[in-house]
Amino acid sequence: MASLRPFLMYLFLWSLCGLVFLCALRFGTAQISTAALFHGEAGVLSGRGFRAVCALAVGAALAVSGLMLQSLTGNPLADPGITGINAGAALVAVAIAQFVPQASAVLLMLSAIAGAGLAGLVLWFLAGGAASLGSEGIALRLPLAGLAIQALCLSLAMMLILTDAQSQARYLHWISGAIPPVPRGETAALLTICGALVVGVFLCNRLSLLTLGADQSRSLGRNPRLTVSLTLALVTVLSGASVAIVGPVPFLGLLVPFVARGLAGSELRRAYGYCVPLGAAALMASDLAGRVIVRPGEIDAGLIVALFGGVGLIVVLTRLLPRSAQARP
Amino acid sequence: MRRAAALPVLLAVLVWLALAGGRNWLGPAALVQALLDRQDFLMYGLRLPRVLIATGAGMALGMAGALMQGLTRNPLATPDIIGLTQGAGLGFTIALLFGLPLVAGAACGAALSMFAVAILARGRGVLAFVLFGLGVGATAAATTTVLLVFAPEAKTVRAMIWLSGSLSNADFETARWLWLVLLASGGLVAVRAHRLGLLWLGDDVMAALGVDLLRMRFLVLGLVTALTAASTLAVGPIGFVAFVAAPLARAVTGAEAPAIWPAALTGGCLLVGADLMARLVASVAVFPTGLIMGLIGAPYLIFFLWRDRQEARL
Repeated sequence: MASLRPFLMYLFLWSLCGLVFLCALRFGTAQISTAALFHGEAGVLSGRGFRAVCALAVGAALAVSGLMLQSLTGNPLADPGITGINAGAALVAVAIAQFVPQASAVLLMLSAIAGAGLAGLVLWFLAGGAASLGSEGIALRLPLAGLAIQALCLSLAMMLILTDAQSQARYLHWISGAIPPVPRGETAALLTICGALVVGVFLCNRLSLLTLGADQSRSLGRNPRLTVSLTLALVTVLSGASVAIVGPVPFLGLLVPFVARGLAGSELRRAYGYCVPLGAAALMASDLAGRVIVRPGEIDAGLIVALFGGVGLIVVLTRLLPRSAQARP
Repeated sequence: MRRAAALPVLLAVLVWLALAGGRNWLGPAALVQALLDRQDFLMYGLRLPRVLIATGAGMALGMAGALMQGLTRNPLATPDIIGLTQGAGLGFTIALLFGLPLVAGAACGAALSMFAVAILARGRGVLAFVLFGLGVGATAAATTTVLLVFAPEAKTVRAMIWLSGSLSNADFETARWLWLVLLASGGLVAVRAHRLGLLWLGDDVMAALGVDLLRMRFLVLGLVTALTAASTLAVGPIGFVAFVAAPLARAVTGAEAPAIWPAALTGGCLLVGADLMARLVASVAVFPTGLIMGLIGAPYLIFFLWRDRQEARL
């Protein structure tokens, strides 16, 4: 029976994901019947399908990159949104789009990945590393360093967007996390995400070995430095590619891994397996809610995620920081 | 003493520049003439209220930041980082949507988020105050944005401009409210100045000196809430002023730790300067002052963390 439970959980999560996908196809801004959806206006179905696929890939990517970052740093607050990695990607992508008007979608994605990497390096420099600070120091410094990077990058990106009418039309929604309504060359980014997600599965064992300690990892023949670099590279690629598609979505990489790790226990690979359908379903559901709540208007999916994410952050914190016994009345 | 005089002089110079500067610059003679002529639209319709609001809001935020940092003895716990500004923003938006008094909305929002953070973080240490503040702030900011989608078009435009921290539609009515709160709080701080100066020394010292700790906390938290609400009402949720003002003031004047007055003056300087910059950078487009503050404040936060890390290494 013990081995049956994870299997049932996979089944449940994937069917949840499938259900949300079907809902995302069925419902949307335009209220049309199922028959009309299939026979009448073919454009609606393919448009919705494209959006759902984008949300699916990006949701899974952000959730997985949050999970990897959290396992690596040992800090349940580490997520590509809070740490400012997404914001760095957004800034570089907007800057490249502004200064190189002929930039192709692939170049934009690569620049977003480069931006994510830069932000990650700054973050590592500001908050990571020093063992003398202890876990409490890291827990505080990581979100603060992230806040600094995020504020700086998003201010600069907004500045670039606001001063140029053309990028205002293209990026004003993107910066708050909107699933693209029409394809604009996202194929490369989607393929990158799929590839990275497959690679990530093979990284899980290495990473869970590292969480036992660097010595343990070395004695079993896995170079800990290589594991760290590979994991950071994976996080960077996943965050950069997802920012290139939908913009900086906050908090998704915090909430979904939190739930997934709660369901999966200590086993990293199982948590990874739960993260993918859960993250995909979460972002698709947010996008769907954003389209349905205010017909004919739209709320960007990133805003819906942020709404739940802020509350989620508070819940995570109440778990993370226990109330001390001698609390003042 | 000479260094202490630097801040008021700097503020005066910045105010003068802000009154004179903009798309068309006024010479000293033209400036005085415009100030004397009550019918002058450029001065009385546009620049004077804007400068008044920038100065007042900056001073209020600087004061609130210094008080809060003193109370928690944590340089990070300022109203903009622990979510008070965002809470005031949410209250403002709700009041705007339902046609309630905006002042009450902003005040209730700030008070509620202060309350929430205080309850959540109670007994979890100083770190928790900041981290829960981030969570509360993020929730309030997201709720505000989602609420705006439901609003009628005209109100949305007004709220959007306000939310990004813009001073472009300043008027005398708001300026009056802001200065009223600022002067009242300033008076209260002046009366209690001696006791507030003890904040940085710690609870034990204060208790030993016979200060009623509970009353002191309520006084400071109330002042911070009122100041934050008033400044947010006037200029929108502009971040980092409260956070940067007090440390900067101490660095410039060499004053002792709470440094409430220097912090207020520095806050005024920062916001007037940032507003002037926002007007000069993009004289055509409406450019939010809050963005400029982000560009000033975020590098300081990075520097702060970097220095903290260097110290931890030693």
